[in-house]
Amino acid sequence: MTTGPNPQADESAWPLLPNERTWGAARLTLTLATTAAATWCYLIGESVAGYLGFIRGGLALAGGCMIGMLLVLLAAGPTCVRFGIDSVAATKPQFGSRGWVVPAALQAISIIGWNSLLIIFFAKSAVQLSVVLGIITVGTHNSALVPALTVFACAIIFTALRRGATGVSLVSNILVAHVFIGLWMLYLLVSRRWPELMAAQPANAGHNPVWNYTTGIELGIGATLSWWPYIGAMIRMAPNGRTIVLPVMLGMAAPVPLLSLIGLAGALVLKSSDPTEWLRIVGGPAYAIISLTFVTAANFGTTTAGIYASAIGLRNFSLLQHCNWTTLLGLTIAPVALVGIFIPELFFAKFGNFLALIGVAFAPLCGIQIVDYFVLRRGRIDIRAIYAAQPRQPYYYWRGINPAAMTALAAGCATYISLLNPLSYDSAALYPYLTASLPAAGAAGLTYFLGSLIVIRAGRGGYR
Amino acid sequence: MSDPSRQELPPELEARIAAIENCAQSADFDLASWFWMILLGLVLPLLLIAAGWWV
Repeated sequence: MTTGPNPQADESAWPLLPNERTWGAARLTLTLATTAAATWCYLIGESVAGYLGFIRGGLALAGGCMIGMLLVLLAAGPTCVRFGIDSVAATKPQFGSRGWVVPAALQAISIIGWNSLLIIFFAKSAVQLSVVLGIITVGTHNSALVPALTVFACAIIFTALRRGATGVSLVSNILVAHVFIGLWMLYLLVSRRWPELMAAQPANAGHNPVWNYTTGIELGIGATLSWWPYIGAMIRMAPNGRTIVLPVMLGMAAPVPLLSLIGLAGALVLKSSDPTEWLRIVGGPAYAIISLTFVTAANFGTTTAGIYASAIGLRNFSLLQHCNWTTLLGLTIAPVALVGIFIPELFFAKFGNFLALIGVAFAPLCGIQIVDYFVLRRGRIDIRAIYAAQPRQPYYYWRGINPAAMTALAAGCATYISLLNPLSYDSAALYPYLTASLPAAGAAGLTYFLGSLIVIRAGRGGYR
Repeated sequence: MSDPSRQELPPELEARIAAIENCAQSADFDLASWFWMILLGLVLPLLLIAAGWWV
């Protein structure tokens, strides 16, 4: 059986061969940066603006983002890049040959949620742009345009992704310019409103400055932890670990806080993180058009990468392994399209709650993977066992599930929630000194380690 | 003689796994990688956080 390059290899969840992993550092950086830069950055910045001023908020956010990115890279990076597999496949050694559906569900829900938000943002921005350009007038009929534009956006993404990872790269090559437009927007606001920016006070800051500062850091950590679902599908296209580190840390982690400064500055000075609102004030209608174009383009790149990562994740299900790529794309895009068509406003209103709850799980997940790979297995991963799901296979554990991983995930989530309620932001006394994500990752890792001692003693898990 | 505990995998998947098992797997993080990860993932963020607190 030949092992030459297969042009459709990147449409499967099977391991990629070295001659199929053709993305160099530059191409990976470009794709990751385009993926990272989206309107969620404004929301992240706006969240931080509730607790911190511009400089403190920017530094806390940047520090948190880099730390969160390191956790994700250490968790999913080694296995994904060694064997050319995605994030979900990389969880099989920890969660078992059936238990991996839990991380897969987290991935699917997270990506569907984010992508739905971005597509709705795209549709709303396209409507606004059309109004500013005089193509349509303001009116109640505009609300019907959002679902129509959602379908249009999904159709464009579907068409691009029919080329697999090449489609992701192609979109990135075109849309990367929006990252620089975003930085230009930031420059505009900072240069024209600097005195107001320095004088602005956060609206929701508590009495404890340590709490406020830690919350800025926590928001940064959470922002980049949510990249776990995306990262495997991207970095597996690169040949080795050395190639991926700088693109991930600089291409993915750095743009998030940089572009979040747009939302941070806007929220502090003009009480709106949405640059389409304040750019008109700062620079006039022409600037508003540029901003709207940027927002419209930004979300395309991110959603394209997200749909791709989600489709690859679904490939891990045996029923979908041989599903036609076009059909699989349709299945992946359909939930996003349905949300945008039928419940866009409801989704917008509840989105913050949804994301807060989803974010709770990724820190523990990273803790589990880091302990498993670096401490318990010392890098010994059985690639055959990742794809062999029968009893007596190394990662079968008990009925395909590793109870140590499930217990650790629950312990990590409980630790997070005990320190910080992600919905109300009520917190425990230790939270200002620890954050919530870092102890959650640590608790999950420790629980996993202790539980695995029992698993190893029972001869399960392929540790020997 | 075939190993009864080995699951039958699709031929292409079997070929890919065999290729990886026979030294086609890539390296994870080398010394340079660890340097950059520690610098950008720990040292720099801690410096940024400290700077932000003292501003």
